[in-house]
This record gives sequence, C-alpha cells and structure tokens, in this order.
Amino acid sequence: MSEAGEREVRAGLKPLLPRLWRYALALSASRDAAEDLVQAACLRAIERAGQFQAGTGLDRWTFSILRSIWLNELRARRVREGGGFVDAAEALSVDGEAAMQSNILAGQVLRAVAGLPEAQREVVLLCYGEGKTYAEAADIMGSPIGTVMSRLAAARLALGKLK
Amino acid sequence: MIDEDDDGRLAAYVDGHLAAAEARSLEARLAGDAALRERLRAMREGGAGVAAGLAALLAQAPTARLEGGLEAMLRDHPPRFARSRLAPLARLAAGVAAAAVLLAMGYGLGKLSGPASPEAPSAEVALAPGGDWRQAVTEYAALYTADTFAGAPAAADAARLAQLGAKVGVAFAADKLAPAPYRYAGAQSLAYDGKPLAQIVLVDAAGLPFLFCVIANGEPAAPMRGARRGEFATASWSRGGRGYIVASRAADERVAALAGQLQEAF
Repeated sequence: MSEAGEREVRAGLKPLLPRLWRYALALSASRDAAEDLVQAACLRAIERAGQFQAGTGLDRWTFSILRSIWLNELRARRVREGGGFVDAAEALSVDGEAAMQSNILAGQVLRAVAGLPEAQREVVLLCYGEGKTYAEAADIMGSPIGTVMSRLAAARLALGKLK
Repeated sequence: MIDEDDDGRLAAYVDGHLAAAEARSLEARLAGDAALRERLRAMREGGAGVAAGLAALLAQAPTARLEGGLEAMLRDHPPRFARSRLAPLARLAAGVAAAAVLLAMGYGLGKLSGPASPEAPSAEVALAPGGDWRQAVTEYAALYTADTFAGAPAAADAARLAQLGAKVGVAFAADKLAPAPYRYAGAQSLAYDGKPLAQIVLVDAAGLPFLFCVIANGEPAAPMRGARRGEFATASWSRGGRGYIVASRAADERVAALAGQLQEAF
C-alpha cells in the first residue's frame, strides 16, 4: 500500500479527465458511454489508489483501468442493453465555430476516424492523439508491437479512403 | 508485392518509429518500387490531420460535469490512509459500492445523457453490522469537515429526497428539512446491518455539518435523549419502528434544538 501513490491518484485524476474522456470516446464511439466510462474508471482508480506506485505513470495506469472496464464490463453491457454504437460519427465530431477552417478539417478527420474498427480507433488515439510510442501503446493494449504497426497501417490506409 | 509486414513498416517509417537499419533497407526498396512508393503516399495521406483532429476533440470534453462527478467521488471516498486511523466501523463505513455510486449520481447506463447532478454526497454505503448504529453514524461523520460540503447544492433535490425517504418510510419535505439558519447540503443512502439508513446533511452559516439520520430498523419507541459520542453532540429518539439521530460537532444545545425541530417535522 502506498500513501504517496494514493495522494498522486487523488490529486492527479482531475487534469487527466479530458484525455480520459477522449480515450473513452475513441473506444466506445459514443459520447454518453464515454462519460460513463470515465466516471467508472475514476471510481476504480480512487478505490485502488493505494495500489498505485507514485511516479510510475498515472495516465498509463488510469488508461489501463478505463480500458479494462470498457472491455470487461461496459461494452458487453451496452451491446446487451441495445445501446449500440450508432452515434459513432456524431460522437467523434467537433463543433463550435463552424466557420473555422481548422474545425471543419478536424471534423472531417474525426468522422473518418469514427468509421474505423474499435481496435484501430484505439491505436490511432494512443499513438496520434496521446503521442504514445508503439511500445507504450502495445503495453496499454496488451498487444505485440507488430499488432500496433499493422493496425496503424490499416487505419492510415482506411482513413485515406474515408476522408 | 506488398504484404502486411510492409504496411506495418511503412506506417512505422512515416511515424519515425522504424529502426535506422530497417529504414535504410526500406528506402532502398522504395527507390526501385513504384507500387511501394504509392503505398507510402497513401499511408502519409491517410494520417494527415489526425493528430490535429484528435487534439481539437479535447476541447469538447464535458470537463465541468466530469470534474463534478470526480469531486463527489473523492468526497465519498476519503483517503484510505486517513481512514485507517479511525475506528473499524468508520473504516468499513467508507467502503462504497462502485456501481451504486454511479447509479446514484445518475451515471447509470440507462440515463447517460443528462448532466451529472452537482449534489455530491450520494452513495450506497454499507456500514458494518453489529454494534451501535448511532456510533457508526458518528464515526462516519468524523470524516466530514467544514470543507466537505463546500459547493454543495443550494436546494434539496426533491426526487432524491423522495427516493431516500421511501427507503426509510419518511416523507422528507424539502422545506422542513433545513430550518433557518441551516442549509441543505446533501443526502446519502446508507445501510446498517442490512437496514436502510438515510442521512441528510445540513450545514450552518459557517459550513459546520449537522447530520440527520433515520434508520428503519424496527427499534422500539424511545423519547429524545442527548449523548456525547466522541467529539459529537447527538440527540436521538425512536418512533414508528425507526431510529432518528442528529449529530454535530456543534454545542449540545444547538444539536438538541435542531433535533427538536426535526422531530416535530418528521
């Protein structure tokens, strides 16, 4: 049990919230599920804060918790309850000043990302959104680096066609 | 012939993650292979703008709502190391069921779209069985400080109160819960020894918490009596198969006076 770890978790979750939400959105492709997922991940992190070793990467630890909850709990439940992923294109979108060219471009890109399979959305988010190295992304996803490479390649080729 | 491994290498090359020797080997192949060059071009084009798009997405996060939910969770889950210095009952009291917290906060999968309630203290908590429920309540209350309910809602959530009242068989009328100068600061659904226990928190003008708890445990009727429980002044009574208590770090007289008003109202 680590008191320093608990302190870091309790103080460090707040600044992570937008990134956690974006990761949850990439996984779930649904804004409502993403919010739910972030809350569940934060709660789990708080409950297990004593298990976290201070200074070992709170974001990676919390991302792993969020991913685990999504894969093991919420995804299946959401499908079971008919939530589905019908709003993927809407979920991964940006609004605000429609006249802003940058937002229009971002919207186009994100709509294309929304069309990717979940595994590709995730690796795209981790590597191009979070700036993780292939090794770090592989660690979070529990996959070999080769899988990261092939998923990124498939995502890039698909995005080229979708955009 | 371009295979899946080539695609992976091309993506890694574009991303700058290919080892130097492998990059040189790929470049040599690219020089003499038009199809591979075309594949590289498609790979570059597909990734264009993705990082910027994802960065723009961050600004769309419902940050205020997420922060509100997080703050409520932190309040409901005091630090484990702080808790460990408390009596065993209080330690157990603070163990909150994860799913129940989400549901209580309106984050259940069935109602995801609405904004999170700012009404922070709202959780299903299982107090340890055995012992004295009044003591358990005051030990749990020992975690509260004047800061605990800072930013609590200005008004009671009628639906939440109705839900809570239904569990213990009391109609918690919002207008009678917080006689002046007290202000409603939150409500929790708890359980003691399997019996539902409603906790309403009021604060005075200085933010000092006053707990009003009702348990539906079938205990025999008893008149109000005051007692000191550690640093807490308490006033408790029983009627209708329910136990009531008001507890605070305030002076005995203030607790007794508030308890009298609440006894009359409920």
